[in-house]
Amino acid sequence: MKKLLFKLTALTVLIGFVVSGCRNPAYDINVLFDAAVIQYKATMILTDAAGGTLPTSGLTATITGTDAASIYDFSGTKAVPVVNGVITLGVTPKDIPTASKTLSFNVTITAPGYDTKIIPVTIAVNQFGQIINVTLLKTITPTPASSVVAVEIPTNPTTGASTAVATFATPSTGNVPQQTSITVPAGTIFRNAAGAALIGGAVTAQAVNFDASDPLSLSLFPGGELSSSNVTLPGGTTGGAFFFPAGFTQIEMFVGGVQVRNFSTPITVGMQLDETFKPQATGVALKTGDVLGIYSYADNAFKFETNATVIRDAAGKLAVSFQTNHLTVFICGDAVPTAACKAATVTFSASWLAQGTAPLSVQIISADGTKILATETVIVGDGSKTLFDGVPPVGYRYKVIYPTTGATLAEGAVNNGCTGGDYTITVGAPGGAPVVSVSLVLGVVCPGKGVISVPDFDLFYRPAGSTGAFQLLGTASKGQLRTVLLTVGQRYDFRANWGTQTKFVYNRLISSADQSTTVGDGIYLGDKDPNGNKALLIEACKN
Amino acid sequence: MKKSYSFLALSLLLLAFTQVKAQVSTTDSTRRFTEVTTTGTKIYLSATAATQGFGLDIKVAPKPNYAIRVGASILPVGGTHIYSVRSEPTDVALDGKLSNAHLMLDWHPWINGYEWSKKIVVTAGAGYFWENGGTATVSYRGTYKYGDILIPSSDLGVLIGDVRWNKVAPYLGFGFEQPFPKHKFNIGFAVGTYYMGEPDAKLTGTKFLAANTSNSAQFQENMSYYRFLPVVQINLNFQL
Repeated sequence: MKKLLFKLTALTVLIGFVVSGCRNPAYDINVLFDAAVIQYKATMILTDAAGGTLPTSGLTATITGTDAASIYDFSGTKAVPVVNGVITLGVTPKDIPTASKTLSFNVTITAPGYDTKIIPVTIAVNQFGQIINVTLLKTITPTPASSVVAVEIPTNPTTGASTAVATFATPSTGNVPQQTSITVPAGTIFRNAAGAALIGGAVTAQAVNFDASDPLSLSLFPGGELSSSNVTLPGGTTGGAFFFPAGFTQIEMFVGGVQVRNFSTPITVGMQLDETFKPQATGVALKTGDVLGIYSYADNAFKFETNATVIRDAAGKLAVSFQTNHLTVFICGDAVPTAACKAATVTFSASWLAQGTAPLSVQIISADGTKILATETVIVGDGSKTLFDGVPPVGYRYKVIYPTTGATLAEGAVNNGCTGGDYTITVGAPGGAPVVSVSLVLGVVCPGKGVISVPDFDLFYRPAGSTGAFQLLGTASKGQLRTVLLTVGQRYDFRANWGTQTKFVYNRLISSADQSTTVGDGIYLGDKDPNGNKALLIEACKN
Repeated sequence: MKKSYSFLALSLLLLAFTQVKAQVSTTDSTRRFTEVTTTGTKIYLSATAATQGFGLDIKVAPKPNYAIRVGASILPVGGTHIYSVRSEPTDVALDGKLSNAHLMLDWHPWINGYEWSKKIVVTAGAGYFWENGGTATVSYRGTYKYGDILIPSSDLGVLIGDVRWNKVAPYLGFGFEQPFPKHKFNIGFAVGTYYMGEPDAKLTGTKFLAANTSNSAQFQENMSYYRFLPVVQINLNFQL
């Protein structure tokens, strides 16, 4: 019996040693989830048209339109916050654009004291990222590309009708020599959008005249660019068109805070024009007798109103005069249909960038080189592609500008912007000091989960100690960003947004071309607010 | 270290049986000599059911105290099971096969011993595993939330662990079987292990889990502990 027990015990020990040698196959394996859920992204960078500082709170962004349901904040929330003047939008993975489906939606941006801005956005297949610069205008504040007038129009307290003829005009300034004058007949009743008369107090009338010859006015054009997909053309068809404005003006009136949308009696608008403007019909400088279209803009839609003949007004300036019974923005110029046009895919060849990227400014210029028609920020890498949509449906020129120095890195011409056709732009190195690619690598260790894959995020920078605005450095993908905009040996401030959170890193020295940092509990949590960063890390790691 | 403990334990076990036999033999040697008989070559057909699968063996025993066996076993491993991995509900779909053809030598070391000790058989041999591993596919059962974006498990992707062992593996084991069967049908029992060697293990992922290829090295290390295929077997022997 004792011998049998000995044998059984030995057998048990044998099996035990064999079994205990096994390890859980999932031991120390931290499942990595690709946090780049959103492939298609659009970043909107807001600035003040007058060069001021936008408010830090109270800014809102609302998504509307056909494909609004597919659009989220880049952090995945349906609510889209505006943080430090930046809006990051993303397309949910299940609704990404395809070859036969381009997403379109509108972003309505409001800010305290600023005009509401509606920006139409389209995201096409393979258009993974785009930077949209949005300029917000304070109506009563003049800018380098606009002049403003504000008056009170007395009204009958019973009927709400104007008691006398009211004529007012925007001033002629050094920045904006052209003027827009408005004449409101006596007895005019002011109505809201529903057509109801507005009664009670004087009418507050404001007019802004934009200098169409100034590139700074481009971002102040309705929709933020000269191309629109929602234009009712002469003949009544609605579709895309590209505007060539000789002048545009914004007229707003309020009664007791309620916006006036139309009048019982047409008002007269006299608009002085850019005398360097060349109508599409003639191709030569504007002159009396030329016929230009008058278009209105309201509620994210352009509409042909009438044709106007160019005259010399009382001040001897080239101008048009027209009547209207509604508000708010009026454009005088040409609108060329683009519904049948195709966008071009442009490939950037920039070997000096190596594996890095740089946000470059791309200008679209009229064929004669006299007028900038569009400006866009593009994050360029060697071999990167971008979609050139919204370009003029005629011949145009392009320039690629290095933002740090203003140097032109590439320029060329396209015969016809309507036919599409892919092409390559070879971008030269900026010259001067040798370009060094600095790698920023961010690793994150989640408590109890190990190293995680960091979602993509936009990174902004400025020289350390500067009080200027942060500039876009680029988009960090999987926690990595290679850029040529930083100089080894210099110090910079950095800023990153994620959802409603903003993190700053001040006075960071770029000690070498390889800047790798791993953050995590017990590793590194920043110098300014480690406890706060730890709470953020834990919260973020829960997802 | 653990491998050497296993072999050490096996050695101790064999030594224990040897010591017992030594104590018996000095007092009962006469009785052993009278029980050894020559019975002629016997051939058996064995159906096996074991942890290594189901199989068939042909056993040729030219003498009662040793035999040569050739055969094959098939062990299909499959099915989908629900597990919690780090408290997350997951489906684990296993698809594997360990199918082998083997050549074994059975030896009854104490054939002249007691009634029970003569049944002890020590087996050594090797197997050729023409199907030598499997794949585990792990998928998350729930819906992943990225902010307010819901990503169903079908869009999340899966983790795929693939493990392949050596095709040729040595075997060592022992069992209990009647060396002098009185009937045409008898039952045997065996315990042993194949040494499969360190497996080749890979971990990959699809869609949002594609980055888990970087976990392959850790997975390889974890699976390196799985080098033995234990065998617990019942033999249904039919004498031809």
